Amino acid sequence: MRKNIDLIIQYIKLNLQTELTYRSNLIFTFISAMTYVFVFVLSLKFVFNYVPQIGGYNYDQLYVILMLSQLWWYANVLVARKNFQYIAKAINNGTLDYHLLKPYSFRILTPFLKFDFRHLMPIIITVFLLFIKLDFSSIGILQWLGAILFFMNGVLVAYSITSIFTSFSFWVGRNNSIFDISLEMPDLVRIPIEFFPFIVKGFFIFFVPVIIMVNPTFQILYNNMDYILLAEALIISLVLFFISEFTWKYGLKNYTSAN
Amino acid sequence: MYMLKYLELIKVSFLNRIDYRQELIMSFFVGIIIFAGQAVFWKAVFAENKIVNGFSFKQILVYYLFARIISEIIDSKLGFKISDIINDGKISNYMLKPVKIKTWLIFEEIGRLSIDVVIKTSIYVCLFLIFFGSIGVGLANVMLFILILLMSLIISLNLYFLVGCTAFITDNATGINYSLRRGILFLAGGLIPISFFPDFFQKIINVLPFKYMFDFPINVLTGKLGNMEIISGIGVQFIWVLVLWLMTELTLGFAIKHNQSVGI
Repeated sequence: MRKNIDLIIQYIKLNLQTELTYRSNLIFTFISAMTYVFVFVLSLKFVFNYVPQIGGYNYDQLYVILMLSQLWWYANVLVARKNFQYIAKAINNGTLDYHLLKPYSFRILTPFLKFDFRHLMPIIITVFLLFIKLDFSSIGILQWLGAILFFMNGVLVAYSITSIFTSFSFWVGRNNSIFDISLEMPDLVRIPIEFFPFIVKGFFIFFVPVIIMVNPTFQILYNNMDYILLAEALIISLVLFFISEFTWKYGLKNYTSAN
Repeated sequence: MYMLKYLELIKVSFLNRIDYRQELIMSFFVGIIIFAGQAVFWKAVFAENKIVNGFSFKQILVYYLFARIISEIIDSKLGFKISDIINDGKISNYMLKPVKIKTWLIFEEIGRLSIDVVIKTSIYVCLFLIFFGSIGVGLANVMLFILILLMSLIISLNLYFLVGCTAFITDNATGINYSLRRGILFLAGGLIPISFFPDFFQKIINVLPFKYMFDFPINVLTGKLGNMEIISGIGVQFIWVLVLWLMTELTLGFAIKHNQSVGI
């Protein structure tokens, strides 16, 4: 365990140094991340100039869910996106054994291989923007804990899905589609569950689980819990995690080194 | 004869894209899912209003259908490609060949895009017709749309090329690429139609090139613009094509003169 912690610290240091090599890129990535937030907020604001509310939600509520979806996205980028892009490339190039032959647990180190520092600052700013619209007096400590737990659950779901798709690279070679796809996911994640017609709700919970990413967190913060959705979110997260472990282990058996 | 080598590039790039079919299939399904998400959001917006800012629910869906099709065509990865070849020094390989770097990269990108455009556009339109009956656009509008879209493509390729060229100064332009892509999408009307923007915002956007990449072609197609607006729009679009073309040529020429390569 101690060895893994030391390695994680080394990886984090190394990634920070790598990012600082291209400082202008670091600044522009930060601007890019914030551009995402501002264009979404502006778009929402412009639509609300024409309608007083959307599907029973007022501007402030949709603003909060929008910020939660951005936070979910940044957390996803921080621990999953860049790491799995790196792993998918290594599988495709046949250079994954550089890690596999080393005496450490590759799965434990995965979130830190290419730990993406560039999104730390946007996370801090987005949390601040989120707090502006939250009514702190109506949110108890248990709600905060529940909200954080379900937010992390949403990130775990995204992490597991990315891992599953990356494992497919063992069979199909280059497989970057998940990384292109995930760029558009915040567009879906920020839609409140009530907007989805009954007929497609199941699809967006069980097959493309965008509804369980930030909706449970939002419901907890507004004390408007749908306990079935919360239970579904936890179960789906567990199931996806085990599938991701299985596909990874099974995929490794199909790995061929090029070194 | 001069163009043959570039046309061959389209073929190679096309075959490369075919080789990784699963990416194409996945991105198609995601396109459908994202479109479904947009439909769900706008259905909620239109729940209590039949008309919002001059749009009916079906009209807004048609807008997003074509916004998706256009984004397949003009949301180019050219900026990332240039940034990468500058960053890892591969630009020297291009400089040593008897080709124009810009033309080479643009044709490569057109090859990559072509299969996506043909397949996805056909399927998107078919699915829309199945679910919503008709799109409601005339043949003349479609022809004009294609012409305008070609100019949009030229604007987009030059714009992203210019953005990618910043890597000559910063070494890595992925950050600026991402930030401009989202900014452009917003200012072009790819997130919401420009008519939803406040008036002062619209006045600024009218003179920038972005609107002529998304919003303008869609409005021409759906017959929302009068003849004078179309003619003046095409005029502005043409001016931007020239300006951006010139800017990319000058920037690339200047950058290559000052570029240093090691270990060619």
